[in-house]
Amino acid sequence: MMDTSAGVLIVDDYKTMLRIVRNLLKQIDFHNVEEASDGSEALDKLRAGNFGLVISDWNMAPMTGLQLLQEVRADTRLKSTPFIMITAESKTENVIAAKQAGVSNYIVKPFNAETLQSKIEKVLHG
Amino acid sequence: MVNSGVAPDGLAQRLSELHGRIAVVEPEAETVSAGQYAALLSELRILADFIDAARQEVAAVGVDEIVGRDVPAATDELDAVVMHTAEATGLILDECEHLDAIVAKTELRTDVTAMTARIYEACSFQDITGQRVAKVVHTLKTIEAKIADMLRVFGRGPMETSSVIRPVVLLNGPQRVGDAMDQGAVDALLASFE
Repeated sequence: MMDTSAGVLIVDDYKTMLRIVRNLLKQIDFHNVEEASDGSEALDKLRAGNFGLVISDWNMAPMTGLQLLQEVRADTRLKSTPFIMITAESKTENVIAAKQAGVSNYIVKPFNAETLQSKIEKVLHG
Repeated sequence: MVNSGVAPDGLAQRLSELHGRIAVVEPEAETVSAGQYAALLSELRILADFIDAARQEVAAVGVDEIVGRDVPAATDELDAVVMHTAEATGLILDECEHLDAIVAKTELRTDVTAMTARIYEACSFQDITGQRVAKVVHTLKTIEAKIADMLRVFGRGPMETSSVIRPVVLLNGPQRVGDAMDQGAVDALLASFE
């Protein structure tokens, strides 16, 4: 049984995607979910709050998901926070760049609920 | 249409060639022969004809309509496609959320949420199509700006484009099938690091 008590921060500049991911999380019993519309807003929320998981898009302005990931990994308090990238960027160099920056897992859009759930289980419980 | 083979680069090359000839002639201006003047005038006539032909070709193509009407209309249509699909997706999500709420405490919950999960997944199409449309709009705006630049080269004066080129925040954006990795390939690549 997955521990769903962790606070989840979902980051996307597209409100529809935030809503879709929030609803899918709700269906697997993640109810403590907050949203941010770009990397810099997400970083502010992460530094002010207590989150057990970040699920972020890549393409956002002014701060991208990759930049957010780099900031998180460079932050003493946040650096071990599980971080899943959900993006349409699916070229090999993108995945490698995210891995080198310390991404915990990587989901290619469009994705399905099973993929989201299995990646969350993997990053939260190994 | 005038077949002049007009291209801004070609015009620039001809001007450069002419400039080179003038540079050679100037130091010995007093000793330039009538034949050299005639040759220079001939070059200038050819250049003037070239520019005139280019102007006629630009006019024949109707670039004013392309830049002033067609490109803005096309981008407006694409923006409208994104807006309408976003509205429709919003309505679909509204109803799915209502369904989830209605069945939350009933025995139908498992079956219905499985169905709404499929609908949520399907609704993510709107994000992908939105990104693809953004790439097309950016391409159209770039073409529009290039045409305006070309018109300025031909002395048509400053030309207003429909709008500034909005920066696209996409790195590469959605790819065609086969041009990038699917989820299985991504998983395999990540596993290779472990």
